Amino acid sequence: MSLAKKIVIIEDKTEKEVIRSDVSMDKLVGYFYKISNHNELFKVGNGFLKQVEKGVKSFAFTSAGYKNSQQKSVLGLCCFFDQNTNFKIAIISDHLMHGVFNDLVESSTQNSYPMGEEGDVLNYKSFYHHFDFIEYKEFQKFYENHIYSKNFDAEVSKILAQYDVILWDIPEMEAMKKLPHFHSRMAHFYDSMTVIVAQNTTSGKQIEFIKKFFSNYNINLSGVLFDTPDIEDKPKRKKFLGIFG
Amino acid sequence: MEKLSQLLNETTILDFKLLWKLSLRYSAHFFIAIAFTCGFFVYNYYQQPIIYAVNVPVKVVANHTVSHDLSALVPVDNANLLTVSELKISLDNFTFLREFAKHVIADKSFDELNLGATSSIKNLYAKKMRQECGADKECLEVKVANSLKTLFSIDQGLTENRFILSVNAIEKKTVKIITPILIKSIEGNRVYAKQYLVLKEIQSVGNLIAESRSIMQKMEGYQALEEQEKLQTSIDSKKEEIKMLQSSTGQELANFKALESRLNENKKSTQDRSVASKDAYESIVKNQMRLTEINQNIYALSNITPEKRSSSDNLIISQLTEERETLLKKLPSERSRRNMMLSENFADGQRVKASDFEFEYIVSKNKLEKLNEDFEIAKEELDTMLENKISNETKVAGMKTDLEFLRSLEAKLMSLKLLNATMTTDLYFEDTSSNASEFRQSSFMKIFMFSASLTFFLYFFSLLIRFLMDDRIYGEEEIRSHLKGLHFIGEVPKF
Repeated sequence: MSLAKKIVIIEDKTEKEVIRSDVSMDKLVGYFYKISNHNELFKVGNGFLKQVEKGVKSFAFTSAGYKNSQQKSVLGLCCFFDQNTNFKIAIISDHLMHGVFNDLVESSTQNSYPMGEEGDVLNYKSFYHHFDFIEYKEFQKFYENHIYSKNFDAEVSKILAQYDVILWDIPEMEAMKKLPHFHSRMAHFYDSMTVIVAQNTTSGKQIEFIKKFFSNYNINLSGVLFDTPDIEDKPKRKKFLGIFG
Repeated sequence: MEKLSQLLNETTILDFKLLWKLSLRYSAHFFIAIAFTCGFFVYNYYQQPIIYAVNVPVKVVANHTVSHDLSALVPVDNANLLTVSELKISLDNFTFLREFAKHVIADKSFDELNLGATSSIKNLYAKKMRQECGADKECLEVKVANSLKTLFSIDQGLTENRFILSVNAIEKKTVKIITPILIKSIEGNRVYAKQYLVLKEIQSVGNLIAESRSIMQKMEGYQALEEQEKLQTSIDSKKEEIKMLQSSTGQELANFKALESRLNENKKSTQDRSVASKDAYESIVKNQMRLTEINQNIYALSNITPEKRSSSDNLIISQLTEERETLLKKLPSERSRRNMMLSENFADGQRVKASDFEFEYIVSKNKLEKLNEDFEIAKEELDTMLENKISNETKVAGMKTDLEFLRSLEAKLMSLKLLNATMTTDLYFEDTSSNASEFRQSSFMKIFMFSASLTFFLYFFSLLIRFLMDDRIYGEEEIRSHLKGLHFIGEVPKF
């Protein structure tokens, strides 16, 4: 959905809503233009878009402990899809209130989906109908109530079916180890698993560990995103003899 | 293996691009390498002791012969076979080192010397060595000789006949003291080396002479030779004697002939003189003598005063006067008397001469006879000697070769002894007064280059090992090698 289109849609809304929509648009546009490596974003986004066109809609992101990179990747893709498509996007993470999503989540409105017939609900936060933020623990709560029931998968599928694209910010492996059954069940909903590799930091052993870990959940890694250190974050190294630096 | 194959390149063997990447990636290694170079250099350079050295240029003094041809004023140099290797070997010889050590020990400053090797920083004081060995002289000599061995060296100079003698020590005073002693020892060694052959030759010639003399002794050659020499001397003196006799005989014969002829002439002249004149002359002489006697008596009596005279005196005077008058009348005139006297004197002289001639004639005759007799005897003796010599000659001829050989050997021995006595060193130490220079065993640049090379080598290996051990992900290459089959999507968006 283009920016002009969105503005047309929100014309019928109240003044307050219009102001809030403008705020949301500003925030998203701000995020989009804050991205320094647009070329990479378009390359990566197009790659995912092609997969969506092929029918893949649930993309999971994992790493060897670089949560921030995972969230940045998810947010970047969100911005790309929001800019270039009219997809309904769900972001599922265990750290919504911390990290990159915090600002957007705070600006989002609380909503919920009814789950099952026993009056359970799944709370989520909707960022002005652009994205819906869902906490892992919402699924976990429902899972714990219906641990031996097949309703869990059906109910989760029903909710996920409402979205065009689902972006999973997978918890860290240590956290997953604590709830192996839950995550095993949740893993059924991951169509694709992308691993984020941090340049100069992630080792071959860690990669091997991740591969082995997810193979236990019957998930094969499908792609790699490379996380290079931020140039501005790097301490500037003075040139030594005009050669090194 | 994958990493190793990454390092290799088909054309350049090593993938220098990758190495450059590695050097940038592991930049800490570079700074560690720089620190290592500096540390290694400082440690190695300043750990070296300061060495004091004196370099003495040495020239081989060529044996030369001065030509007798005055046009060639410059002596002709003969090629010398002294090489640096030969010199080194002779100076490494323990006999030389021990001689050198003896000279050093004899020096009054011996106890102050530090004979520590320049390759180590360990001091080795001579005083301590003396204390360790105590009264054992040999122990001290051996120890000092072994220490001195490391303190000097000789190397080839700029030209064929030039060398450089380097004396090194870790104390300046030691260098100053041992350098002149070393030079003196080397000179002595060279003279000994040169004398060695001559001494051996002298020994050998001496043995030959002794052998030859013993053979000659056995064959009674000496006696024969002595006899022959004596005979020859006797013959020569006898010949000389005969010659003298011949000459004397000749002279005497001439004298004899002259005397004989003069004697004959004298005899003839004296025979002609008349007997009458002889008598007259004798009467005149008699009267003359009486007259003189009368005159003397008259004079004696006339000296008495007439008062004292007796009558007899007067009578005597008158008688004497009468007699004088008579005698004066009898005497011829003065002129005739003088002529007569001269004639008579001449005749007397002739008579005396005749008797002298006769005596001389007889003497000469006897002498001639004696000379003839001596000549005959000498001739007989000479003949006997010549006969003896001829008989001895055969024996001496057999000895001649041996004798000549012996004489040649004796001449050779003499020349060898002369040569040995006048032998001098063939090395000229040109500048012995130069000051001791200070340096470290390895130069600044040498150690720096060594440190840098070692560091580069270690740096290269450290990079290599780090690369092989490091499995972190630095780029797409590592991703492809670690995550085979995974699709590389791109980079994480940067906010």
